[in-house]
Amino acid sequence: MTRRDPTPVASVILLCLTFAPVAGIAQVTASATAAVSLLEHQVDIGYGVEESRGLLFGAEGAVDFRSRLELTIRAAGGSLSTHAPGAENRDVGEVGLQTRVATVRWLALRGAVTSRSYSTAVARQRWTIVEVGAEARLDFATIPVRGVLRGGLLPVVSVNGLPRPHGALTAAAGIEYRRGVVAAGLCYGLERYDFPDVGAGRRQEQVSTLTVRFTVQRGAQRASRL
Amino acid sequence: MRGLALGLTLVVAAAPAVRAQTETADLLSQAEQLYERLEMERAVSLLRQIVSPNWAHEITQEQRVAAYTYLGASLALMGVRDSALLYFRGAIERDPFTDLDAQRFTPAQLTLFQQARRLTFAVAARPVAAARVDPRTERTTFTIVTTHPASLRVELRSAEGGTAIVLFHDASDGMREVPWDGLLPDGRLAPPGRFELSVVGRSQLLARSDSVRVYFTVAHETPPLEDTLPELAPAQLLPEKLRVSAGRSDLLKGLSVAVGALVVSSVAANGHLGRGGRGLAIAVGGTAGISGVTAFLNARHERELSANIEENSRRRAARAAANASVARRNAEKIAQTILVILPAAGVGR
Repeated sequence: MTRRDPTPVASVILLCLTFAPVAGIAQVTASATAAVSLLEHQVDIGYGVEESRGLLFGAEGAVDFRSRLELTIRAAGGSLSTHAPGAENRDVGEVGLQTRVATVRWLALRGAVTSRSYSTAVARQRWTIVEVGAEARLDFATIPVRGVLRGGLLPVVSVNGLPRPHGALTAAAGIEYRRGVVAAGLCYGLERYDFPDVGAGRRQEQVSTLTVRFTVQRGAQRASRL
Repeated sequence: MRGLALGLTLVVAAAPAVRAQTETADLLSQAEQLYERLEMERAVSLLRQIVSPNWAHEITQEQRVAAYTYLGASLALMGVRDSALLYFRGAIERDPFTDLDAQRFTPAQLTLFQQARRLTFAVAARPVAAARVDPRTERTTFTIVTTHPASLRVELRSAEGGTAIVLFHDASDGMREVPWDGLLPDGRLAPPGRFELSVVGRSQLLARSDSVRVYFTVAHETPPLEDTLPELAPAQLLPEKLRVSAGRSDLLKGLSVAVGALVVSSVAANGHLGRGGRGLAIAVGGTAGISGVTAFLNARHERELSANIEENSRRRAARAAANASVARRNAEKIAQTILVILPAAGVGR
């Protein structure tokens, strides 16, 4: 059985999410975000858990149409170091595109596609990840804070040299403080991948991040609540 | 086949009426030719047949008026003035717009006809012609006639009632064009609907009055208008008062995020691989919890949120400005309204 390229599937999902509710776009808000993430990567390929960690520096640009539809493009990169015997330090880089469609004031549907690569001096492993999920936004009424809870499935995960995982999910929780056009946020995120056993042991992998974000908005005014 | 049979039936059924009118027209045409050849007796004989109550064929009002006019003209040439006068009056009573062409009739006939007009009093209005009128630059006109000098009042009135629009109120003699700009007395555009043109005349020669009414409809042809923005819904406004209950709600939200972070790091994470970044989750959960508690403490006492009040005022003002702009654009479009005037059924005296 040949493995199909996941990119077309990812593109279709993103396009559907993007263009479904576009009617009536008028007020547009643009934002730019700088982020730094503490990333913990854990993988077990059958010989014990190998941990690596490091900092990722990233940037995002987003466009929000009438608080209904948000398109985000982002890129991040950094290094992961490990103390596991026989393991090498790696560089990690990723680019992604995500869309968020508000269904009600506090709930949005999400779709994202990410291309990530882990590289060492001798090899490079490329991941393509498609995410579909939902995001609850809990706006505080008394202070300018928004809580975010996010969960989703990763229906398309393509890793060169590896079979598709039979289960993959992502979840996140965060808090964001906003003052005028500037927002700062702290977010914990998790990605979990369970690969099937292909005879050489069962591969399990997960990525945890703690991300600090600073965002500046421009365009339609989003007022603070206080 | 059935269609053909139906068509033939209709043709056969309609034939007698058409033939009847044709016979009247034929006879009228013969009478006119005899009149032109000055064979007056024979012309009068044919014309009398046409206007006779015993005439079995259909005759239109126009044909009857023409017959009366030629009878009057023929009898005038024959020197039978009283009878000529009678027939001229008959023609004028049936159609006050009737007139003699000075190029075709003799001065004696014209004099007699004018005498008939003075002895007969009637007013009439031509049926309103279909028209498109731009009230800014154009007028529609109503054609009115009195048979001789009279005090004339021409009014327009909506069929639904309301104030009458007096278009003309003065002495008048003969035919007159009365213009209307499509506006009501207060300057507004006439609303769409059915209108009645009422013509009332009082003779200045005889102690007689006459009136006539014709009907027409007015429609507006306006470019599509924009809708104004609706009232701001409560969800579109910020809370203007800080309430204790809001603090409790925020506390729950903060705790929800804190619990969510811990759940993700414990339930969603793969326990085999370790704690799934439990420390990272605790950092976020702690921050969220602190935010919730801060919000709760912040809202212990109810107070007004001046920033929110200011923001709500800004939103209301923005809406009002947008609506004012829409209203201005709509007013400009309404100012371009074209009146579509169409004749309507109904006539009365």
